[in-house]
Amino acid sequence: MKFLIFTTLFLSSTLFGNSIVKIISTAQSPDYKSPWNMKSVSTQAFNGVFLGNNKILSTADQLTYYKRIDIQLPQSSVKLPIEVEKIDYELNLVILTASDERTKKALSTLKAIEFGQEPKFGETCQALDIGSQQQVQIKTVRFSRPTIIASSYSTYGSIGLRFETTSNQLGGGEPILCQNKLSGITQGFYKNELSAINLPIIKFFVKEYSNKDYVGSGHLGIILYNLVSPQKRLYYKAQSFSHGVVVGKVHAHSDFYNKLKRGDIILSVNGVKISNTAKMKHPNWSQVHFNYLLSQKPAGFQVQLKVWRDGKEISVDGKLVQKNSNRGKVLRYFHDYDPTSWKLDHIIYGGVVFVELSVPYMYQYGDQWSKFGPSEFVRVIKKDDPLTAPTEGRYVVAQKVLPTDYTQGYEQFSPAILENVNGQKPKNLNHLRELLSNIKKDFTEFQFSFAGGKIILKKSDLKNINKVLSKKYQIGPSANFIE
Amino acid sequence: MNIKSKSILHIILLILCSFLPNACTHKKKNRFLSKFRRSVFKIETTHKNPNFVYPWNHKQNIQSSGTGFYIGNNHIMTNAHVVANGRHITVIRDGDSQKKIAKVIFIAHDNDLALLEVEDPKYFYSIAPAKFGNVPKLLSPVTTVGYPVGGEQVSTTEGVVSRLRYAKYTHSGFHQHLMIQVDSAINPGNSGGPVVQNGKVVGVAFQAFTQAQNTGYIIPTPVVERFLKDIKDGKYDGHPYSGIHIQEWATSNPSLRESLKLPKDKQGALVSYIELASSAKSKIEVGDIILEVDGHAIGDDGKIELYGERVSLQTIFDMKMQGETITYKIFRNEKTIEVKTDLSTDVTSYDPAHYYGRYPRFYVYAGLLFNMLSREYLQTWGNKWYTDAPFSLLYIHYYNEFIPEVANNKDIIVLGGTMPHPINNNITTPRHSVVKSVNDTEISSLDELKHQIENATDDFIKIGFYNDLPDIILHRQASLQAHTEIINGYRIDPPYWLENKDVDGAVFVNQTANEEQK
Repeated sequence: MKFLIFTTLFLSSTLFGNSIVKIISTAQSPDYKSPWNMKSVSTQAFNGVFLGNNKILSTADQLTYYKRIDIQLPQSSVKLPIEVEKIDYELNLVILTASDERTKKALSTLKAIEFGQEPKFGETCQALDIGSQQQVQIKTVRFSRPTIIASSYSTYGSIGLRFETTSNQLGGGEPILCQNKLSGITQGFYKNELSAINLPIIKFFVKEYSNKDYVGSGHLGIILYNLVSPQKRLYYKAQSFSHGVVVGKVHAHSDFYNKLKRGDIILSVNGVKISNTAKMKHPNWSQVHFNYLLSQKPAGFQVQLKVWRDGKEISVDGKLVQKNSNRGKVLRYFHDYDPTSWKLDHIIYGGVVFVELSVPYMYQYGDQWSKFGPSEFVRVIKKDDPLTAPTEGRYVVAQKVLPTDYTQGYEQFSPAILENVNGQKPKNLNHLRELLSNIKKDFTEFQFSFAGGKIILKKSDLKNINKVLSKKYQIGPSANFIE
Repeated sequence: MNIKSKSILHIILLILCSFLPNACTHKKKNRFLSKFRRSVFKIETTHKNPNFVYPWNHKQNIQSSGTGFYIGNNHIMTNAHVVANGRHITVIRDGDSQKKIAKVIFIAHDNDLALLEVEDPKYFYSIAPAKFGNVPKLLSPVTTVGYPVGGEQVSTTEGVVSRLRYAKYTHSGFHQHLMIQVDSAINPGNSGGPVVQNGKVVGVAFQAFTQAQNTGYIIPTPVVERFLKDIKDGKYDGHPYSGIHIQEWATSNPSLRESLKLPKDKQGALVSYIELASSAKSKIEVGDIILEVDGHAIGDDGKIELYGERVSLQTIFDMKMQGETITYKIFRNEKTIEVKTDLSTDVTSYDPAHYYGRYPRFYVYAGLLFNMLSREYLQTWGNKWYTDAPFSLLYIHYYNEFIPEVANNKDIIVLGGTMPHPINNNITTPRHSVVKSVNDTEISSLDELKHQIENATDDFIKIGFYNDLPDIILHRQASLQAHTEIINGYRIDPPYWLENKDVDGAVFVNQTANEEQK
């Protein structure tokens, strides 16, 4: 493997410099440990590329918990406000557009980037990065392979690209230019290789997003397994040919839910043959995961599958379904929360703090939350199928009990899932709110699942408890108390 | 000195002794110890611990030493961990010139106690058996007698009793019993040795707390005496357990009390959960408040008073015999009622304690290795196994109770690995997946797995796993042939093990030597 030559060229006004901007995002995340608080404000700087027509393209993962977004042109120190026009967290792409006149004017001085081709194996390309000097730097990258990448938000990957590079300062929305045209946008590192969003996906997003019916790219909703073993092929009476993959599970929300079953073998999608390891042919690369085909198509796209079942080939029609993972009982992503404030909805009842269980919530236990978080929470999340049909049900958890004289005896309470309150099971936090506002009895009894025990509070104590909490723990008026 | 002054001296000494007891007992103690040390043995064991991942690959032998003491009836008492998985055991006393060969007669892995017998019955003729005393008081002095690492002679260490608690015994890794904490150093080598006070044995030294110096733990006499009582019928049945979980301190909350109308003068423990295998299952309910167990009053802290200290209420159950009846006073629906249950814990489901004295159960077919999930299997992930091992396995290990699919399984069967051969080269099922079925018949033990596979008649054998993981599909005829090739080629001997004992028939927990020979 040849080593890359690390070159840094400072450009003032060239072809490249005129298409890239610096994006500054100001963010504030909720404090999952104390949901009535927000954490401190932070800023993040990354890159965006000018598409023409008052639009900037970049990656969505840099806009976690954003509150405001500004841009800076190369060589300029002026911050100009800009807004999100469309964001797709699954594809990890965002289009920003300006409403402020100054920003519009500034953008009109830029040159729109041209879309190019997908790179070839080993091709040397350039990544453009506006460094801290507001000067565009060119870093050399070399394409190594296509791969399935899942952005931090995607539960079902799309085809991305991996590049070798000696620079570790990339990964924040830098455009990748091969033969001077856009071939990808970087989105972070994975095991020392630079990861980038593939051009067809960028093109798909840029073309489709303004469609008011846009719901992102689609997927089949089927888990497939390789079919290499000759014995397995014999078992499925598929020994006379060598392509096709076997269906492991069809998700409930898939359009193929009642059309395919475990054990069916998918031979081709819209005429494109699928190999026994789920690959298909590609013009630039010998083969790539067949998801390449689907990740450029919108939800609702019609597909015809050729399927092998019981020794015979049949045709099964259906459509791709939405990738949006706002499903299941456990919300997976921060953007499932209220985007105007990113505030975490919660209830404080007598000092007991209730929230809905979600994956972002678990990050308070660290990146390895599945090892260090409360095991019942981890198990329930792992069992939750994020690709099931949309549901309103959520897991309501009691996170902690803020100690007051009235909660004596509950000090050793550990985070637990709420089973019922006065015998009624809450469907989600709002439902709990409703139930708690309508308690007729003198006492409220919370029963927790999985040997979590119970907490009983006297209704008439609530006002006093809340007074104590406000004073002792300085929980401000924005907290969601129930009295 | 004339006789009169001698007797005056003695009277003065007696008076002095009543005012300065320590000075006088010191002499008495030294006299006792110089005799007692003749009842204390150094035990050396060669252990052969099994390999829990590839059981037919033997591990190396380990040698260790510990202490034991004579309790009468030709029995030497020591810790189970001193002789666990032992193949060759010798005993010797300070001053003897010959080592004697010993055999394990009873071994209890749930409380780390064992009894040894020496083949030569005349060996104990001149040795006085140790007498057991009561639980020593807090801050009272105790002496540990034994053969700590670092010397050949018997040695004694002094300490005081710091704490009495109900806590986990490391040898089991799971079971909890009463233990006494002392502030004298107990180091390896002391294990199994007697701890004495006023001429009596008040405990058996067994653990050290590695993160603190000068802290040691001893098994108190009630646990020892329970063990001796248990084995009187020739069979060790083990400690029963309640299966009742309580929410500590909940009953100290005034609102909870008021809502349940629990009178101010009554204290008790709120039941939060009852395990599936508990014999109290149908008699006691979640939400009950246990006021008294076997006449012992329970506080809001979930503890009872025993031996002058407050210890967990589980101690009462732990000190009973299997099958004994136990009475509770329960507060339920504003009334106090009396409930009786028996203590039988005939559990067939997954056991999270260490797996001693037995060869691990496993089955190999066509190069596929099926292991039983065990604590040892999880420990192959290293020191931080409780976070590094796969979550699904850890969860089953700790909470299989809450997973209805496997709660009653005899074995949790894990795909342990493969001995590569063309028959199994293209398997997509990941390692450590849990086996669910064979040819769509659900299985719950390695015995059933073997039976289903070896009695299959279809052309193919399909092995299914939990969590929608891919099946393993084998061509039956081809796999039978491959199986023989693999067993011979990889020298897998034995090719499977489904017994509850060791390959060489060595003694296992709950069995005596006599029973084993039948």
